[in-house]
Amino acid sequence: MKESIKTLIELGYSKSDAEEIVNSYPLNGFKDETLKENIKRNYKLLISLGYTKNEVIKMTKTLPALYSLSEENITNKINFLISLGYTKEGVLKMVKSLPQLYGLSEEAITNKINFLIGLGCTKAEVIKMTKTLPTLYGYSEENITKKIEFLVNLGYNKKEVIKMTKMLPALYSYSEDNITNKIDFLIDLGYSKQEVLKMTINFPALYSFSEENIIEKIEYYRKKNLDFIIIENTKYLMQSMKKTKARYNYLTEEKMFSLDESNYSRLFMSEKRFQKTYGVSTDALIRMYGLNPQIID
Amino acid sequence: MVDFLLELGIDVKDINNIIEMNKNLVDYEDYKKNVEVLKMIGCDDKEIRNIIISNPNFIIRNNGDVVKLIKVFNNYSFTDLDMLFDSNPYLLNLDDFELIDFFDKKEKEGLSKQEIIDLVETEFDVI
Repeated sequence: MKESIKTLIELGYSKSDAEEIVNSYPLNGFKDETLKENIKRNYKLLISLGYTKNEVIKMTKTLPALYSLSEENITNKINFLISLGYTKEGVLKMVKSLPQLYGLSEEAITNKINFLIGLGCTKAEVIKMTKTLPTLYGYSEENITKKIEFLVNLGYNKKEVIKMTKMLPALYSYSEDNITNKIDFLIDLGYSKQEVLKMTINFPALYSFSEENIIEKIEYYRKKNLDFIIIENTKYLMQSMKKTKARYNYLTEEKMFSLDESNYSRLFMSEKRFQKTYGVSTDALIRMYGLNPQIID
Repeated sequence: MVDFLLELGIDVKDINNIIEMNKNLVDYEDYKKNVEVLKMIGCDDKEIRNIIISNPNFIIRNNGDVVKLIKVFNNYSFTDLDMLFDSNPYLLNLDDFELIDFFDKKEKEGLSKQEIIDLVETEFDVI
């Protein structure tokens, strides 16, 4: 058995993973002894940076080339990313999702940032988006452009698409089928295409909701004649149904309010403001109305 | 992993979307611990499904990082974490230092701790 494979096994890799790493394209050209030393050195470096053993194994399985880089390569890359505006902890976190970041050239990273700025994002927004979705660095400009064009073809304008992706960078990772299916699903629930576009521009996270989640919320607001909320203020769909139901019951039964367009925002007050206004916590209301399944069970 | 997601009541269509978004999901082994954390903070099955479907990356997070994050939320006196994360599953992607940095930044801008909590509870992409 090669020394480099033995070393990986000693470090905690399975035999099959160790063999796969050593025989991978970036590493199979190294002399065994050199590779062994690289592995020991870089493993120690990654641990010293704060990664756990499992994280190092996961990252190097994704990117075996991590064991071909010099210590200087890795630390220079971290310092370069910090110079762009990330914190050190932020960089270390991003690389867990995208180990390939250590392998990207500074030019490639800068070009990607400039490309996203060219689409209409500020640098601060690009830093935030890539912190949320590090894999954005792994998408080609062609892929990103294609996704934007796809969304424009659905009926959004480009400015709206860029706004949505700033709020929900994960939109770049959704397949076209996923997005189209969600639109069709909302249309099947009775909304026009224009209404669906409006709802998702206001609250792009609707694309991430499960159908179960959407149905529960829409059916509830329709039943309570509050369905205008869904189109006009879609972001309120984010609120937990337990909270909404508890507050609705309290406001209409105890406080005798008739909730409508003029006063529905009471349902969505911050917890502190709700408690200050009504002297009761949402948690207490949930218990009072038996809305916690754990309690019912 | 797929069997585990099916047991949670997540349907095949959503599982396929989840796997499509991140091929690494299928290989990860620590996902059960992260779901246990959700149960510990009071999430019911529906909330767990909502969280995982909206934010599949949560279940492959390092469990130690998730526990540290929850501790920081508790230290800042957030209540009803089950409803908080059901409302905004992406908060579970934060690391503890990111929440601390956010509070530090907002406090320097003059907000009180309660105002910051309100902001996190009611605004989707504030952090």
